[in-house]
Amino acid sequence: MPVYTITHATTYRYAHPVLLSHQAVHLEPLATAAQECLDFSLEAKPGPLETSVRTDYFGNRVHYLTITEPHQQLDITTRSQVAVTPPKPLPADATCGETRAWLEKSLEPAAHQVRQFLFDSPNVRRVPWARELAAQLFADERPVLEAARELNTLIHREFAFDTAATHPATPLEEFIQIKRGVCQDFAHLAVAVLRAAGLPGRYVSGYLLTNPPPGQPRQVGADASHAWFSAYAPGSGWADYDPTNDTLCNENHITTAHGRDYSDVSPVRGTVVGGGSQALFLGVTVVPAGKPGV
Amino acid sequence: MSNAATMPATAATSPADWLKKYLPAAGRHDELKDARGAIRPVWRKLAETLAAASAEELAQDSEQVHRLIQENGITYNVYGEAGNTTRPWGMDVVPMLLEHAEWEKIETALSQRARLFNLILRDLYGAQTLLEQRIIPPALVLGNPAFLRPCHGYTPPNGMFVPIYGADLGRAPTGQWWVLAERLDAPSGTGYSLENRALTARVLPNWLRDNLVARLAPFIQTLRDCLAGLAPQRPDPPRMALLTPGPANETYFEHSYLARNLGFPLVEGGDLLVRGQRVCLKTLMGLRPVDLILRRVDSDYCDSLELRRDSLLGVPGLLQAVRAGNLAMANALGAGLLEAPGISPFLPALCRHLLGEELKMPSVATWWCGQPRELDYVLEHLESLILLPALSTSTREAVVGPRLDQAQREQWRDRLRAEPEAWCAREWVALATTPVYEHGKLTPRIFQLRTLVAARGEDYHALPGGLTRIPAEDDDLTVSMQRGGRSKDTWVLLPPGRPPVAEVAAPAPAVVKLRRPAPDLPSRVADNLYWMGRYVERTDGQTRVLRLLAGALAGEGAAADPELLRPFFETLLLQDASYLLAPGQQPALDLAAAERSLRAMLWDTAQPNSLANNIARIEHMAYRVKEYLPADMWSLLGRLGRKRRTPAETAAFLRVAFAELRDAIVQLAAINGFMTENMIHGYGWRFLDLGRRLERGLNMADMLGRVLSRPGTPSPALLNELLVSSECLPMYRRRYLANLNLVAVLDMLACDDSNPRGLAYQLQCVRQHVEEFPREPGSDPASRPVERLAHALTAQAELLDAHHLAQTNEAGARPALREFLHTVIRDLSALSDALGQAYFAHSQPEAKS
Repeated sequence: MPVYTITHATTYRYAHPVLLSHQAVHLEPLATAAQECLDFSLEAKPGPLETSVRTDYFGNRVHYLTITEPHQQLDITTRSQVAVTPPKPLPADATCGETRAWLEKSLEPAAHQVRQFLFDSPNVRRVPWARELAAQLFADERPVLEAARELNTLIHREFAFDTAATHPATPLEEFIQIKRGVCQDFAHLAVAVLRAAGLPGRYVSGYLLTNPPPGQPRQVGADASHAWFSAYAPGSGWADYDPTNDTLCNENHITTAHGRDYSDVSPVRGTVVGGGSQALFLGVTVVPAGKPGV
Repeated sequence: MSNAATMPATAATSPADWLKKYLPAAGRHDELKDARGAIRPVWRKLAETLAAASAEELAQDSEQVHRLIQENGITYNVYGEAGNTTRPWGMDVVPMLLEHAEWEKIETALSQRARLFNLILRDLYGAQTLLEQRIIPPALVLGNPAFLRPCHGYTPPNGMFVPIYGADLGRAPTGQWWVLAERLDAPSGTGYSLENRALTARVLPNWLRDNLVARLAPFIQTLRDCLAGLAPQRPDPPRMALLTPGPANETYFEHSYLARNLGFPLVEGGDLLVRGQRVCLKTLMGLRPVDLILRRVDSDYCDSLELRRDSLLGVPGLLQAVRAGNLAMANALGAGLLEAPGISPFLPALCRHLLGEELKMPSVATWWCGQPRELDYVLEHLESLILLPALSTSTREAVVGPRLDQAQREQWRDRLRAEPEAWCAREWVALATTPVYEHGKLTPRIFQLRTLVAARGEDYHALPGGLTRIPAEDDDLTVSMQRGGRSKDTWVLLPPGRPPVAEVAAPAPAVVKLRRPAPDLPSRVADNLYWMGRYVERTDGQTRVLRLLAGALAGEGAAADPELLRPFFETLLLQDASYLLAPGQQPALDLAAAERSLRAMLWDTAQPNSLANNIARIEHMAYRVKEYLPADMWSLLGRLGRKRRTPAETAAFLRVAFAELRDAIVQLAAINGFMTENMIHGYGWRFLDLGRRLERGLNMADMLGRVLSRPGTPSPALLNELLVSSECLPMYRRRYLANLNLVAVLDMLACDDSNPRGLAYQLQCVRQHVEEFPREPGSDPASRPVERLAHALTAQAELLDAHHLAQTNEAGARPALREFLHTVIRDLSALSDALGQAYFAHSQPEAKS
């Protein structure tokens, strides 16, 4: 069972002093069936006057910081140790038709939890493009997870990774048009297609191992926060796909948060009084435990 | 709207005829007449009164209502109307009447709905069994943008999500009341209802007296008790505030009206901040915790950290204070979820499930297209239905089936099939009508009734009557004050023998903690009061100079030498002198040029420092601190700011200008009187008066400098004009008779600290105010520039000697005077800036990361 050490450094620099800063941080790795968070620490400079933590609607840990010391630079650094279980092969899964019927009728608590991910959310609307693709890929007789795998590949093939093309507020329609973007855009699009098919689509934020094991290529998105999506089939549960790298998620993927889309789980979200214009600097390293960071 | 009120009544017809000629349309319920044309019993008394009135009386009453509305500044702001965003409130002179027995049924039904909504919200923001068991379709909640996930897991004390609930009712042709729309997030209407009643009481006291009308005022006490009961228990009394989006909001008038009546500070997001999981108000005394917020900001705008991140209206971190149990919100954040029209078809089943009761008042028939059978029905009956977005509370996007052509209907059918969950359809409702006085007669017009209830213990009490709204056009679909509708005072008539005052006995606390001075003046309010004081004084000084100039043009005083007027024009124009009189522009100031200047300085809004613009500045500031000012001041401000005329012909112009300036001077004196006599002389008043004193000091120093800084001995004529413009001539004459002497004039205007118009007096007042201001404990006086400057100024003034000031040098100039005036102007300006730094520094712009 691989154990990783993750360091995530966020730095904001401001043109003018910030007098009061509130931050909400979604960076503590999630405890799931496939991973265990062994250790987590959060450090801020200047030191926060107060911090609190709670579990949000989707089961993620959110850390709140309030900084009252005037500052022109804010550093937030988190360090985590996570043990990841390699995924087991998925059992034979339900068809799209069966899944839709189950979602429509079931009174099980599991169905209720899954239905949380069926509807439009701030960054993901079931746009016409998604509806058309959904009709092609998710026919009634098709197994859900097989179709999701195809969706994963299709998005990877049709869209190019380009960090300069989009920003967090770029609408999905625009990404579809320019066909370039980052992992959040890839994940959002997949989620939109699943939901347009009447199936649940979940957004996942997390990390990728910075330097892969020998013999494997270095993956896109390994030096920053990463994002991917999950599809659901009754009997199988949630399965994770990484459309940026056209792969099923494996023991190189570490999950920090689940949500409907990026807006539910943005890693560091803040509001400051003062400050003027600002610049953001990010640094992420994920290394096997015991090895020095990059 | 105003045309209807001012149109002369047709002389031939009388109100008795109007009642006969009042013919409601068939197929609708009418409030005044039943289907056979007989006056309904509830109207009998008022119908008699109406019939006995003359057409002129009613026209006058209607006009009077309109005038009071304008004078009291009752407005409903309209977004997106460039330039003029406030619109006078419209109230029809004829009230809406409701029988007591009928009203009690309405109140019971509303109370039941409010209790039901609390239970639904408690489940949806908690265990969600209603979703799990599919009693509410998940799409209507989980796909609803008004479902605020960061608020999930929090239950307000006693499960009170909607302490205040509003519903828009309409009456069916059968007489049955329907709920047309729910108002759960931040219901409005209480303040306008109270204001409507106050208008009726002033214009038609006899109508109110002759009928036993349930009073509205006790509802304010109900509301206050209800809110105090929600606040976390620690402090007594709890510290409560009304959160408004600000003066641009459509119902800002009501926010300030309610805040004043409830005795709450009216605050904007920028007045609050979160520290230690508490929301605090920035006051002159420092940060003061707030326990309860009555909010008129929509839920999703309340906390940019966890809700809408582009919001500038809320308080970042507010949700943390709510979760920590340190702050109660009325209504709870996220309560607006159930306003979605798609929810209403599920209310009868929810009511049976949660309350074990039948729903007492139906919603207007609605079909949510997310269900297959309902969708089929809607597809089939589209031509008679209204389509609404299932999750939006706005009726703007409504699609009226009967108005679609065949092709459009087909397109809509396709769209409904593609996104059925997003739409619901509503029955076309033939709303009831009520008599409205317009164009000099009574006309049946459709209406909606905004009702409001507030929690009282386990149950709810209603504002008896509520707000009747008449749409601008007879449209069954939308009644929006934004689109220029009118309203009606709404009477619940009590049965004979019943006291009209529903007794609301608030349990009197045994000991009242005395509070002097009133605590917690928000910094923003102090800022606005200070500037209001400055603008009032600026305008006051200006009217006097303008009167002097008008007099000169009319042949009084300085008319023989228009050049004498130049320094006075300059004082009026301040830095903007170039607009009319470029510095160094030497051609003699002839009478024609003087008249042009005077016209511009009066009512020309293109001239930045015109009287019209200064009056507008007073109004703007006053509007922002409305709840701190005496209520009667509004009629004065209303009169001061009314539209003026400027005849083209010189003599007529001067006559009108004189009369209007006299009016303005009297109104400004009355405004000053109100401020001195009707405001507690606490911090708020001190900032207001400081503004006046500082401005008067600046103006006096400026005027003395301009008039007396020229070399040579000033002529008696010039000294005379100086005394006139500063309102000191009568005082001077009592002391010195007609002997106009420079030293004596300087003594009176600059040195004498017993002259309330003189410079020394202003400086004394400034210092007194500053010494009373709150200060950080233990801080060093040297680091308090406001105090330091105030002390330096009075120290200077105490040493003043008029003989010294009047001394000339070889060139005939007066260096001592110039030096002194220069210091005064510099230090007063610096004091004003320092004041801003020390007390008002509260509204830095926010940036988001």
